[in-house]
Amino acid sequence: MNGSEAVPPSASLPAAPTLRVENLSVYLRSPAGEVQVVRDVSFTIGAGEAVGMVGESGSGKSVTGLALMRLLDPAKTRVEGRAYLGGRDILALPEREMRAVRGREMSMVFQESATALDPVFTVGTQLVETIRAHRDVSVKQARLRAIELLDAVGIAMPARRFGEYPHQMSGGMKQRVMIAMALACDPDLIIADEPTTAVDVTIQAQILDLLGRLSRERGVAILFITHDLGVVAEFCSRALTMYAGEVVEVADVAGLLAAPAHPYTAGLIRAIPRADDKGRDLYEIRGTVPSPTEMPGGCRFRPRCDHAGDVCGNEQALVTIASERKVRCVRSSEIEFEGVG
Amino acid sequence: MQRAGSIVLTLVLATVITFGLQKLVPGDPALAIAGEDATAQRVAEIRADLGLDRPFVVQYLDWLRGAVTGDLGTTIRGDASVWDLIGQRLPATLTLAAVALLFSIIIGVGAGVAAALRHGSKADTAVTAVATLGVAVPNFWLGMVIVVVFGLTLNWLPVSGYALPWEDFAAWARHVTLPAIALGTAGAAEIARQVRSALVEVLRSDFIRTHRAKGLPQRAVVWRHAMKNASLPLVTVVGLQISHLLGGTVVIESVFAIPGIGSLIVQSANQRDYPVIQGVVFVTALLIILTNLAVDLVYRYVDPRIGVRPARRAGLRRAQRGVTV
Amino acid sequence: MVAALATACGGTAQSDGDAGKPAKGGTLRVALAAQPSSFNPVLGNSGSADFIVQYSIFDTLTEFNSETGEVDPRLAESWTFSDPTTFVMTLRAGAAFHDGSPVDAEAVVWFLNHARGPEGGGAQVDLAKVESAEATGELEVTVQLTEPFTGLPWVLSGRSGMVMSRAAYEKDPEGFAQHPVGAGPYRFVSYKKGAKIELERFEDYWNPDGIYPDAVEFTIFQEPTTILNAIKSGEQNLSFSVSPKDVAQLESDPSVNVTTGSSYLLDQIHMNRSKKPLNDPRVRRALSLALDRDVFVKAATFGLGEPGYQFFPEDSPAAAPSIAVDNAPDLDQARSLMAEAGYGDGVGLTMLTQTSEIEVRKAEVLQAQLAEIGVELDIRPTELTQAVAEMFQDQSADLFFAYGVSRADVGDTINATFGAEALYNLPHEEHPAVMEKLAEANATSDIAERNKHLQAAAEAIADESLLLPVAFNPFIAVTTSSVHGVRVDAVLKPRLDGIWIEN
Repeated sequence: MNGSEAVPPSASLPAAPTLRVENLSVYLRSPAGEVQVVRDVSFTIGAGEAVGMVGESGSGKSVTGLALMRLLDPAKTRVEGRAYLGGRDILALPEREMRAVRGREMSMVFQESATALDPVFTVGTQLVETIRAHRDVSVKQARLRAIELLDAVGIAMPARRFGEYPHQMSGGMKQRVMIAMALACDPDLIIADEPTTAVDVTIQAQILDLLGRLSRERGVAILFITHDLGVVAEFCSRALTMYAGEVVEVADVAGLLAAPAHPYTAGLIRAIPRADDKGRDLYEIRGTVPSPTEMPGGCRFRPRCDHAGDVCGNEQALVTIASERKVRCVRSSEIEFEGVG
Repeated sequence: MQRAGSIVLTLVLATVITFGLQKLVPGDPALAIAGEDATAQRVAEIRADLGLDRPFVVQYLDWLRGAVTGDLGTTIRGDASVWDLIGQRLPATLTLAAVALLFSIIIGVGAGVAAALRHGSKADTAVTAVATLGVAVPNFWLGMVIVVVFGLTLNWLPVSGYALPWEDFAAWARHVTLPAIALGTAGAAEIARQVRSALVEVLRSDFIRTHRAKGLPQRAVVWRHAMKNASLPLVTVVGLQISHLLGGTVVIESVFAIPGIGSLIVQSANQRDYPVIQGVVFVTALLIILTNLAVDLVYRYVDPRIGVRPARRAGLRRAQRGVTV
Repeated sequence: MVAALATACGGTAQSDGDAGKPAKGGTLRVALAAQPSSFNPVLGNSGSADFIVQYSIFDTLTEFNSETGEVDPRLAESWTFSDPTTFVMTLRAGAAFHDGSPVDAEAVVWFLNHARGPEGGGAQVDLAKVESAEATGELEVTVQLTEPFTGLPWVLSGRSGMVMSRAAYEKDPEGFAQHPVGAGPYRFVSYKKGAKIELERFEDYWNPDGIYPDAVEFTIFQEPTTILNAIKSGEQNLSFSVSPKDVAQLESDPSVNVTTGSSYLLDQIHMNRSKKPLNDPRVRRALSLALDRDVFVKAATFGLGEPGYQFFPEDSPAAAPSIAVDNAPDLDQARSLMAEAGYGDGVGLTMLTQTSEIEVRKAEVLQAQLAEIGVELDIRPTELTQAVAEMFQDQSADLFFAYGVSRADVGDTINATFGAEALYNLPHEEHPAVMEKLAEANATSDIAERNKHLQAAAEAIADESLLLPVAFNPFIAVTTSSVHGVRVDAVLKPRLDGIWIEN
């Protein structure tokens, strides 16, 4: 539709972006037919850049991440669009070649480190096999590299931890192992899907710090998927807001937080807990994300929007409203948002 | 220590129950021995000779005293030692059960994995249907059918008798095939069902996605990671199968005229040969206890997370849940 | 395939066709349906499996002739009753045990004394009337009896005539049953208990004619179907343990020979005569009149075997011609007898039967027939040993349908069925009329005279309907088509003599 216009002008970046996604759509197959769950998503991430992808659960963020990794079951899903990594469209690669890309050029850090690690193998074994899946090294070399990685992600006594099983580790440590595994082969891109949701605030800070440092030092591009705008604020330079499978707003993080252009983004910002919130009820956007089979026509956020008007019944395009800024809301220039800024 | 206590308790219970059942079921070994010559007096004499006129508890304790010193006594006629008899028969049963188990595992795991990988496909439906049927088919019926087909009609394999592998390997291989298939089919079906449901569950896990995201080949993901994770219920069901196999030999050895402990217990039951029945139950109970011990050890290896006892329970739960899936 | 049905009891069925002349060689592989109870003949419990194996290892003093019902010489060349209580027998010269020791008068005397002595087991009963045995010559044995017992030559055709080697027995009395030594045509090689018995031909057997196979292997089966399959596939080549229901199918199979005939083994309804209602002879008589035995044989045993109207088969010398053999059942009379006895409105009876398909089928035919006179049979299929205990020890059932005793000596059969001590006799007391006739039969050495007394015993049994004869079991032998020379054995304890294997 109008997604292709949304590609940010590449002139604004010094080099070709690490990842360029164009018109990514994902459909779920079911006996009743196909249902679109991600619609025309386009964005880029440059080397060493961290881009946040925010939205409530059900907004299509994780599906976007998995679609890029090609980890969706082809029997149950269909993916359209293009995603360029290192000059190749990874959505068009044969599965065998894609296998060499996964873990090597791009890797993913999953949300639930508690279940994302194989419980019946030691973390060392899981690291070693990642390395050996892509590099022609001996077990011994791979072992040294794995211990090095564990050390690099801040795990104390890495040689001992190497031989431990996931259940012997704390949540934060498991998340570090996940990150180590993602870094094992020096990828260009890491998709981090809610990497800090399952850990406490202290660990969260440490992990964000770690990811940021790795991104800066190694020039890794990071797609940071989260529902937590606060984390995005700390960690990312740019952000996309996803709602109901669509990108509804693209902005630099500072601009986004200071002056959200989309009512949904504004709602998310308002819902961030603050120090002076004590004693007050936390703000919540009313209603829930619609199911893909019951998408409202026109603006998909309209049923939940405090500012909805008649014009919102029309199909909304993602329009550029400023340099590096786009929004999918026809009324965005008219609205004053409460509790933001 | 606790383990040793429970083993002893199991053995004592198994033997007390068998002993009690033998006494409860009417039919007097003295009658069996007397046969056509039975007169009331002769039957009484034989009973006295055998000590069957003594109180139940005395008889049991007498047997137990022998058993703990490794003496299982002689047949009721006194013409063979029970140990010798079991020693003669056990190799046939164990070799048969081993082949049947191997057959169950190979077919069961193969079919279960194939179905799980094509979860929801026609192949999956077919495997599930055949497995459901396979679990339900009585093994003696299956035995008779394959005898007619492969033994009598096609004339490929013998339909009766047995040989031991270390005596005549070729003869053994020919004699063991049909009974092992008859004996192992139900197990193969059960294993296929368990492996399928366990593997379907495991393949949905987050860590499988992690392995894929690492770029591991499908082969490694399935056989190395998914299988090891799915093997807890597999080990449980294999352990249960060993008990079932030992039970199944009672029927299959009769159908194929195999001189193992299964047919021995049938013969002994018909003749009310209490010491032999008792001895076979004792040895079988011992074998099953050893199997359970081995299963527990394998649990330890397969799943590092849980201690031995909880592992077994978890495995059982998963196996049971698998049954209802 | 030629299968002949020998209708006359004891008739010989020819199934050899044009197979040519008997030849020596080969291994006879015999499928048994049960394991021998013991290899020590005097300890055996007289089941068929015992005899088939023991006859090969142990030669007998005399041999029962199925065709004549009389006994022929075997190890004993001749015998005579010098008076009703003195039996003199002359042994054949040149017979030897497998261990080389001769079968002479001393050996036989030792055996008879052993058999009736404390180590004699079941044989004690057979020889209860023997007072002493002594060698009165190198080959002459004189047996003194406590009372007249002309059934003795018949008794000596069974286990009590299976002379054991004294040397072998005394060397290891306990182990004898594991290493039996006799004077029969085959010597013991090995036994895996409950599984397989191997024998090889005894080259010094006194009468090598008619002993053809080099070796005999007995394999013990549990499943009748497996026996059939093993014969069809050629893994076994002879079995006497085939059910009548399978005969028709086997007769149409060209790879199999079937030999059938009738036997002395009577399927009968044992009645608990010590309890109501069967303590009333009128009720017992009514049950007998209600049975249509021709229909029974056709419906239940596939036309094999013979209807049984009295205790002995019609062509047995002991059968009483006076027992009116009215082939048609008389339901009217049966009903009026029932009414007379006070059961005009019918009565319910429990009947134990064995669990095999064919036995249950037989019981169901009886159930249908007895229903005609208002007898409602409750059939309880029960495993044999348990059924015997329930019927004769606990007395918890009214009827027990089973085969009875089948001995070469019909007097012996009567004794085992109606003797004061016989377990199968309910009430457990001697029936004076029957036992009196038996004693008279045993008192005469004249065969014709003896048979007359036995007939009188049969009449006494029939008069009071002491038991309910139904049908005589068929003899059935099944072999692969290469095996010839099987003869019908009327007491279902066949010998392997004369059987040979075509090359």
